[in-house]
Amino acid sequence: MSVASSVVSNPEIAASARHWPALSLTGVRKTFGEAVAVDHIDLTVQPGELYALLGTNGAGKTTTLRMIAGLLKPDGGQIRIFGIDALRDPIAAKRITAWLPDEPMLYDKLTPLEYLEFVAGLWGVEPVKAQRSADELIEVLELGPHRHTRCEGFSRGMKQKVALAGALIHDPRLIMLDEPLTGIDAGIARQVKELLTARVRAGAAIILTTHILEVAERLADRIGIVDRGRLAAEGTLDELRSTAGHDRSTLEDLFLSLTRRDALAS
Amino acid sequence: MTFTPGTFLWLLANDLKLNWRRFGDLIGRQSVARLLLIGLCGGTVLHLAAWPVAVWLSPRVYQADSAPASLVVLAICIFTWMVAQSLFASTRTLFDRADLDLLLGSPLPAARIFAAKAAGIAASAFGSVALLTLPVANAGALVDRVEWLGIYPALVGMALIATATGLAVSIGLFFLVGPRRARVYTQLTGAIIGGGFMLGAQVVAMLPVRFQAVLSDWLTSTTFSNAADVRSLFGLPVAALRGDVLSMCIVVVLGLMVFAAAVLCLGERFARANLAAAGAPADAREPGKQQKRTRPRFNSSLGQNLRRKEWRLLVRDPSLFTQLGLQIVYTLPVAVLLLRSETLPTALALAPTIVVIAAQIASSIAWITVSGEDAPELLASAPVAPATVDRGKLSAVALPVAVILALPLACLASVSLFAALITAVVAACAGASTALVNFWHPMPGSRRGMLRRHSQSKLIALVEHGFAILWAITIVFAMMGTWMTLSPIAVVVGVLFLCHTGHRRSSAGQTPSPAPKQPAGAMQATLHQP
Repeated sequence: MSVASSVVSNPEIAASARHWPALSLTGVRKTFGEAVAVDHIDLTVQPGELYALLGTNGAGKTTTLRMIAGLLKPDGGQIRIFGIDALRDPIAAKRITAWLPDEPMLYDKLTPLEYLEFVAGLWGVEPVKAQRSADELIEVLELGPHRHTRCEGFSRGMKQKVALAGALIHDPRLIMLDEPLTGIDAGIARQVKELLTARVRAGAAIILTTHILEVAERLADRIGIVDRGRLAAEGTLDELRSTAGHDRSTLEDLFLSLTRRDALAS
Repeated sequence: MTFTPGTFLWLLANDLKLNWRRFGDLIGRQSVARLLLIGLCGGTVLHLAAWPVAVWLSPRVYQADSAPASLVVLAICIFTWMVAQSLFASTRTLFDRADLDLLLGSPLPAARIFAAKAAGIAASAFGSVALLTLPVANAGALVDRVEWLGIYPALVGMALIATATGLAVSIGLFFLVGPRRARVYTQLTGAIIGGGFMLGAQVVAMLPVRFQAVLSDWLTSTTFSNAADVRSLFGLPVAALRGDVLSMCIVVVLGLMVFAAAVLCLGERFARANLAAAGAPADAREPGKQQKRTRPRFNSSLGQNLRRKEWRLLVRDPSLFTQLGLQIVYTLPVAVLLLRSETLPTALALAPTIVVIAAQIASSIAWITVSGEDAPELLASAPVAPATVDRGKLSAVALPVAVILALPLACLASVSLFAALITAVVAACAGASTALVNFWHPMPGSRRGMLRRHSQSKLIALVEHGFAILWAITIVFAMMGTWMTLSPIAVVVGVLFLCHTGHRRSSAGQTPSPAPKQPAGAMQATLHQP
């Protein structure tokens, strides 16, 4: 199957993007042996929306994202990305998505430019567009002086920037990020946040997990709180406040109150 | 037995415990009772196998007119092997680090930590030879004479000297060429010492008889001034191996002295080297150095893209070349042995070796490209069917194997063009079969642990080695022109069919679940079946 079409140049996908939510999960469930990692999660993310998935360690956030990215097959439920059934047609779904795990997926022996060249080839990005995107991303992320240096000596933040450039080179419509700001300094974090905000403004949808609640509070349009595999609460910050019955609470207060309340209830 | 925390013996016991657990991983996690049973059975089998060897060797070692040159060669072989093992172990200690950061961050003196690490390396050097030689010593003591037990102290003394030599070489190289190059250089030195001497000994045996006699006389006169004088410096290990009590004592004391001197002299340097090695990558390149600029090629096909990426990663990792080189070096003595045979034509001696090398190298490179993949989630999240990625990677394996085999095939062609042609075909089949096994049954791990990958699956190791042998038999039968050529091929095809039927990699359109990267041997292959 040819992969030489990006979302912008694929009229079928572009048309479907106008009518469907960017991401729709219905009753998604995943177990590992006896342990239930994700328990019938329903959620929707609209185009141009940044959705933050919060939860304690082991709550099922990363498993949820890995299922959306096509890296894990759910035991049940449905995943639709811009109307494409991601379980039936994973290739078409992957063509318009990007997945950035918490550990950057890099080849230490390649330079950033060679890495982008490889990733663009994987997504079948048109050569002229790939070249232009690579130049733009290298400039925006200030990777220019290092574009011909192998990644092996890079700091974690630098590696994260290269991986992010790789994730964005094919102009994805749905971007999934697992802990994108963990372990990077404030300067790089700001660059990453600005780039993500610009993508959302351009119409892309972003779903990210984070333990830095301030990031979710500042960046996210809507927040979902996952607890032991279930979506415990969802909505804007104000909606979450009213759900918890605390009008002036911080997200941290809400998060702790929701997750502890659930823990006590169980 | 418990030791006072922080003492040399406590550190050594901790190191030996970790080594034992790594060894235990090779046979899988077992209960103590089962381990004892396996040890008992293995020991019995080794001793039964050693029995006829001891009976055959006894008159050759202990009779007055036995040729001492053979024993000298044996002693040098054992010693060089131990030095090579020490070099590899000291490289691992310095560069893989493991618990070194923890230990050197503690208030314990660096010299004591180094002494414990060095003793652990000596134990592994001893163990690498002991497994095969000590059963012969025990059997010899039972069937012939008690002097056979002299092998025990002789090996201990030699292991201590070999460890001191290995550590001195590796730490010396560290300061001579710098931390970034030292790893590769030390591994290369180990490969040359370990494989080179065995190869050299076989090459010497191919020399005309007149030259061999001169060499034998020289060795004998160097090691023994006369038949009775066994106490010259080079003759000591030989005399100790023969059970001479005084020589045994001298070898052990000498070993302890050299080892202690190395620990005292190198302890401080080791700590400095260790600090310098922190974060040093496994290649000889300086950090931050700009890669040669090439025009980015965004217009290549997916296959070209995958091949270029795999070849770049291969070419830029010298430690992989060292490991591939080691595989070839250890295969060559077989070829030399076959070439020595007066009954075998040259082509028939070379062809099976080429086929075995093809099978092993293809298997290793396939493992690097599939199981050693640094970014499995990137490939899995790309809009490409896994089968397409596999095809691209499989084609990437072919070129390096062809390059490595080009020279030996050209040599074979100079002897017989027909033999070279069918060897090329069989080598291609051998390479493809072992590569396919690695594609169908990946064992995720760090690229650095290529040679230790078989600790993850003994069955896959058995299949790979079995394929290499079966294809070697195939080429021999094919060159003999017998219909039996088809029988090993049938076995390979049958096993391949079973491998394919049971393979855990997902088929086209489905997605493999990438496993987290850990050193080879530290984890089991885990791929989910969507």
